Amino acid sequence: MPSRPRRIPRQDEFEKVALPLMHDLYFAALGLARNARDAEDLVQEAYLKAFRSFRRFRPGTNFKAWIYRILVNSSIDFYRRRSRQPLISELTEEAPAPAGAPERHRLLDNMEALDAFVGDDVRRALDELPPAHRIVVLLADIEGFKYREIASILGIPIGTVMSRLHHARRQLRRALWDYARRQGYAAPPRKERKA
Amino acid sequence: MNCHEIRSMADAYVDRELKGLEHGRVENHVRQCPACQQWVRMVQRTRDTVRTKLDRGRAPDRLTERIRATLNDAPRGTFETKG
Ligand SMILES: [Zn+2]
Repeated sequence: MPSRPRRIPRQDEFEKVALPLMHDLYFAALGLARNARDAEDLVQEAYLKAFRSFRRFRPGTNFKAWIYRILVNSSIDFYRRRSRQPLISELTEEAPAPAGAPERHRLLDNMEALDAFVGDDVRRALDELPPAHRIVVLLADIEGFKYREIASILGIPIGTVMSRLHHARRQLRRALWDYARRQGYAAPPRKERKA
Repeated sequence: MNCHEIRSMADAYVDRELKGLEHGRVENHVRQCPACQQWVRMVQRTRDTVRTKLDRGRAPDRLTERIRATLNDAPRGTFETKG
């Protein structure tokens, strides 16, 4: 590390770069926590930790990715402390590939069904994903992080990011498709075909 | 590369995350294979649906003040000094 003067970071300095990200972080925290109160606590905790280690942040590198990593780590600690762990070990461990038949997806024939979805439908489909998959979709598709940034935020290899995103989007298509069919957005399934 | 491999790379392909060589390979295949072409379009549209339809919402207003208060109260002796 370069030898920078060691000093307590100024709160206003920190707030200037960090606070504009609050809504984004909160949104990601909802994906990690799945309830609004925990999400708030998580964001608050992430801010405190980020502030305390702000001097370790290297100017010129990606602050957003840095603070997201802190948020993810906070969520791991958070749930470990509460020993409610449905989600967390999953975040860093290999998520199982989704079960089910190889995909021969009927959305292929009904892509316009996607147009009918509203935000709530998408949110519901996302909520059905395992957390380890949901978070990569949020980071990639909503936050627009590059794979290598996601790898660093989650502490997993890039190849894992790639395969998780692939599986996550597949599950998402399935969930959207099922939902579309139930809502009557999409035409009834064609004759089932084994892939 | 066969169709199965192409499809497993389709997400990284539409995200433009494949290295030049791999990207070119997928691109060539997709150009010649209508089924994979359709697949890629589907992946793209799923992604765009998430991007455009999902309502991000906003954090509750009180959160800013909560955070500021937490930072104000942070004991100044506990900052990490490791470089
Ligand atoms: Zn093909």
